[in-house]
Amino acid sequence: MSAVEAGIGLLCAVGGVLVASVLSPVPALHIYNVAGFILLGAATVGLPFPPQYLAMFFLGLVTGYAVLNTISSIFLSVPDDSTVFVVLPGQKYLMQRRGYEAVVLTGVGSLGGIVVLTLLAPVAPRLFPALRAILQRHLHWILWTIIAYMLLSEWPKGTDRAPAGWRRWWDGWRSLTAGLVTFLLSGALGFVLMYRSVLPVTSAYQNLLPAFVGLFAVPWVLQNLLAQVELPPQFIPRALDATPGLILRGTFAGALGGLFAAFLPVVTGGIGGFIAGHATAQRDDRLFIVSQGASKVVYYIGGFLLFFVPGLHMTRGGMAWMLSTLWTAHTPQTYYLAVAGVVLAGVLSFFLLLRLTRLTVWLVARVHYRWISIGTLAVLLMVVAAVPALGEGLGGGSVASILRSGLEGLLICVVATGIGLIPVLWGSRRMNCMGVLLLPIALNMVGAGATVAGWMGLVE
Amino acid sequence: MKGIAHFVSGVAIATFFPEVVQQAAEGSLLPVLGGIAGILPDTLDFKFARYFEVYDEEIDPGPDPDAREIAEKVVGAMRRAYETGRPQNVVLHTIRLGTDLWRQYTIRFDPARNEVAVRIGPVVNTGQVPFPGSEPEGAEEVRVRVGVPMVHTYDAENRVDIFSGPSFKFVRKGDKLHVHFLDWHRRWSHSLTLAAVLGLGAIGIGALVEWLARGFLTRTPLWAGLVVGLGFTGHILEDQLGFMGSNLFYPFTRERAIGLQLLRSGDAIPNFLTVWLSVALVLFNLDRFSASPRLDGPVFLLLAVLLPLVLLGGLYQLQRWGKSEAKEALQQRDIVSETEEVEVR
Repeated sequence: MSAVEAGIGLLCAVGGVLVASVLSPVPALHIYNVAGFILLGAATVGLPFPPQYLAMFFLGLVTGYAVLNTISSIFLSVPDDSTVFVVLPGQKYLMQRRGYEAVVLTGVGSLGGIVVLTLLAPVAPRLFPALRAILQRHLHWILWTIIAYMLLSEWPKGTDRAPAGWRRWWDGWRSLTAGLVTFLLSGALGFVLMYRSVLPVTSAYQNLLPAFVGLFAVPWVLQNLLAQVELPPQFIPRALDATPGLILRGTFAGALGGLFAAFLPVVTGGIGGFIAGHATAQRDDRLFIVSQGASKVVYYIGGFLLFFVPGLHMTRGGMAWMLSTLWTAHTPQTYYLAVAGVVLAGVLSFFLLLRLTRLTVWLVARVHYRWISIGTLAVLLMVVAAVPALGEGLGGGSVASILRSGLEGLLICVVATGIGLIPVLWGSRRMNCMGVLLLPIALNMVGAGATVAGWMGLVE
Repeated sequence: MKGIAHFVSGVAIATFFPEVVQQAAEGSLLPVLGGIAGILPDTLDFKFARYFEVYDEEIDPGPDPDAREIAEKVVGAMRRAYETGRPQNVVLHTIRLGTDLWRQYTIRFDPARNEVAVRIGPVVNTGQVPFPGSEPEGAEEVRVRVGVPMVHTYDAENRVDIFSGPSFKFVRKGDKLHVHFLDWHRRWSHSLTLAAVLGLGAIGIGALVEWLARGFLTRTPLWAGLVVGLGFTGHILEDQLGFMGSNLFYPFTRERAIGLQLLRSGDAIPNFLTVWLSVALVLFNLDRFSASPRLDGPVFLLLAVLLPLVLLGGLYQLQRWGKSEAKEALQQRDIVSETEEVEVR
C-alpha cells in the first residue's frame, strides 16, 4: 500500500465522520441502516472506487456514530440498544442543567475507549485468535450466563406496604414479573422477526430498526410527553467535574464491557454497558456515564476493527457483516491503517461532539421541550416507515409494496412499543427488551430455536 | 460483595471440573448453574426473606412529612428496645406523591452525639432525579436525642425515596443499644448447611429429570449438585471475608459468625478484582480442559491472576491503611453496601 493510498484511506475515514455528524443526531436513524443502503446501491450500480476506501469510509462512519449518538440519547431521550443506559443519568444531568457536561463525560469515555483500542492494536493479532479458539465451543452457555445474570440481578420494586407475607412478596414481585414478561415478549417478537418477518424479503434486513425504535426510543419519548418534562436552561461549564482517576476507572470498566460485547456474538453494546455498570460497582453517575461512553465506542468500533485483524477475519456487528459481502482485509498494513483511521476519526468526532452539543443546547433553550419531543416522535415514526420502504424501493419493489413495507415497519414499531412500555409502566428494567435478540439466538445456539419457532407456528 | 462478583465466582468454580467443561463444550449449560447458585443466597434474602419480616413499627410519614415526628418515632422504638429488653423491628416507608413522584427524606444515626437526625428533601421522580426548588420551605435537619447508650454504629445518611424504605432492628446487648441495618439479611440464607441441602436437592432433581427423560442415569446430576453446592458455598465464603459474616451453620447456630475483616463488601477494588480473577480462571480452565490447550499456564497465571492480585490487593490495603472505624459501624456498612447495587435500568 502506497502513502497516497493510505492518505486517501484516511480522508475516506474523515469523510465518514462528517457524514455521521449529519446523520447521527437524527433520532432512530442507525448508521447500519445507512450503510445497508450504500451497499445495496453499490451492488446495484457498482462502486466507482476500490472497496478498501469504502471500508475506511465505513470505519469513519461507525466511529462518528459511536461518539455522536450520545447527543440524541441525552437531549432527545432516543437511545439505540447501545446507549439505553445513558438516558436515565443523562436526564438527571439535564434536570440539573448539566446536559452538556453529561455529553462531554460520555465523550471523554469514548476517547478513553479509543485509547484502549489503540493500545490493544499490537497485541490483538495474537490475543483475539487465541481467545476465539478457547471460547468458540462455549459461546452458547456464555450467552445463557448473561441472560441468567440479567434476569436474576434485577431487584424487586415494591413499596413494602402490604402486610408481611405473600401479599407483600407479590407487591415486590410485580416489577420482576413485568421484567420477565418483557423479556419473553420481546423474545417472541425476535422469533417472529427472524423466522417470519412481516416485511418483504427485499427489505427484511431492515426489520430490527423498527423493533429497536419501538422497544427503546418511542417509550422514552412518550414518557417525556406524558410527564410534561420541562428542561431548565442548560449550563456550559469551563471545566469537567471529574478526576483523572475517575475517568481511568470508568474507561477501564467500560472498555472491558465493550470488548466483551464486541467479541461475543449477539451481545450488543447495551449488554456491554450493563456489565460495565455492574463491574464498576459504584454509585457515581460520572463514573457510570464515562463507562457507558467507553463501552459503546469499544463495542461499535472494536467490533468492526476485529474484521481488520490479520489472521482473525472475525465479522462482529452489522457493519462487518455487510462489508464482508464486498471486501476482506488481509494485510497488517490495512489493519494499522484502520487503527490510524479510528484515532483520527475519534479525535475529530470528539471535537464535533462538543460543537454539536452546544448547538443542541442552543436549540433546547429556544424550543419548548414538549415540541422537541413531539418533533422527535414524528421523526422516529417517519424513519421507521421510510427505512423499510426505501429498502423495498432499492430492491426493485412496486409502489404498492413500497407503501406496504412502510406500513409494516410502523406495525413492527407499534408492537415493539407496546412491549417497551411494560418496563416504563411497571418500573422494571428496560434492558429486558434485549430479549428480542438474546432469546431467539440463545435458543438457536443450544439447538432449540427451530422447536420453539415450531411451537409458535412460525415454521412447519 | 456485589451480585456480579458472586455470580462470576460461581461460574468460575464450576469450570474447575474437567467433566463440567467438557460437557459444556458439547452443549450443556452446567456452568450457568454455578452462576445462579452463586447469586442465590442474596436472591433468597432480597426477593423472598425480606417480604416475610414482621415489623413492630411501620413509620409512614404521609404526604406532608414532619421530620421531628419521624425522628421521635424512631427514637421511641430505640428507647423501648432498651427499656424493655425486647428487640424492636422498624421499617420506614417511602412517600409516594404520584405515579412518578416521590418525596425524598434522609435519616441517620449519630452515635457520637447520641442523636437521630432526619431531613426532608426534594421531590424526585422514579429515576431519583430531583425537581429543582421542590425542597420544603425552611427544611433543615431535625435532631432528636436518643437518651440511651448506643454503640458506635454506621452513621452515614440513609436516603429514603423510591419504592421501599430501609428497616432497622434495635437490640439491647448488655448496657448498650445496637442498631442492626436490614436484619433479615444473611441469616438462614447464607448457611453452609443450606448449600449442602441445595447441592443434594440438585442431584435429586437432576436424577429424576434424567430418569424421566432418558430412562437411565449418568453422572451429570452429580456434577449439577456439586456445581450448585459449591457455587452457593463460594458466595458465603466470599461474604465471610468482610466484616459482618453470616450464620454459617443455620439451623444449628443462631448468630452470625463474624467475618475475617479483610475487605469491605461494597468497595470497588475487591469487587472488581473478584470479577477479574474469576474471568481469568474461567479462561484458564476452559483452555486447559480443551483438546488442544493454547495458553502457557504458568505465564498466564502469573500475568492474569497473580499480578493483578498483588497490585490491586496491595493498592487496596494501602487505601485502607490508617483508616479506622468502629467495628460495629463497619459490620452494618457491609450490609448496607450490598443493598446499593448499581441499578442499571
